[in-house]
Amino acid sequence: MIKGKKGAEVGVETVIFIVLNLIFFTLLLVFAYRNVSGASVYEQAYAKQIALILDNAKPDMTILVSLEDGINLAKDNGVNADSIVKINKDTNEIIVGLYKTGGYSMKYFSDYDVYAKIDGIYLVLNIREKGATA
Amino acid sequence: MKSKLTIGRMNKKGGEKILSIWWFFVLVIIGVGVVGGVLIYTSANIDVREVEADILAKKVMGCIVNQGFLNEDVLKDNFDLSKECGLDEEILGRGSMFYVKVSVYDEDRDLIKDVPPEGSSAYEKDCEIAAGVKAEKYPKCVTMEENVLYYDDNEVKVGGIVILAASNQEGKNVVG
Repeated sequence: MIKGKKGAEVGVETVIFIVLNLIFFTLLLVFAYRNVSGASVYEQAYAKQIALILDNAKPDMTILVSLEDGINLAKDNGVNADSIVKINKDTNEIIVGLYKTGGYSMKYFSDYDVYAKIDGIYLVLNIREKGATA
Repeated sequence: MKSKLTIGRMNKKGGEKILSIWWFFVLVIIGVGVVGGVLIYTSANIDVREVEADILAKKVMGCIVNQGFLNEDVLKDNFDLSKECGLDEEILGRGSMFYVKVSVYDEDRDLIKDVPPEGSSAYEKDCEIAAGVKAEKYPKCVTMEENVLYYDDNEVKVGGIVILAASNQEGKNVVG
């Protein structure tokens, strides 16, 4: 009777120990996964990629940039695909935001008018001479 | 007999306590390691400054050299590099994160003209310093040289141009 009780006590301790360890490592893995696949890395990468594309662009070009991963992440964060990329023509600044607030900003040095819109998984960039229409 | 049992139990409990403390430290070390590693990874900067400087140099090269001939306007006094090459004057203005300079040489490598540079003029010196030592926060620079043909008194001459382009734009997080 006592032996049985003791045996049961040891079993519960071991189970609690294992469960707590599993919880700890699960939380750690979830933290690592959420951060590594996080939107902030994509924000920076997309902002820099788009800025370099615009630096290299010439008037009357139409450029498609795949934003598939970014659009999926933005949707998970409750962000509308159309508001992921904002281009400020006055300051030549691109802001990519995959969260509801904040984002990553990068400037481009080309002096052209840039019109951007999302079409499916692509960002469509229309490059025009200053003052020309889209 | 009774006392031996008690000692035995105390040793077991003491051992378990030491094991729990040891295990707690192991978990803390693993946790700190993983969290630290992830934070280092996510805060890593994607450095595109050299690519940006290269694009700037090629863009300028493409607009002042056409099929091996130097654009005649380059040698004129009122030549505006930004306007001619589709570069934004404000972005390449005072306090800019970019720099571009064009120098034109004759056949004997004597300087014919230094086109007025655009961007932060301090970067020219920074580029010289950064060429010799490892300087992470200094601008990344690209020098591009090409032989060109140019007209001088209706005579075609051989010369060369050197373009120095630099970028120190790292991008930034925006709030709101």
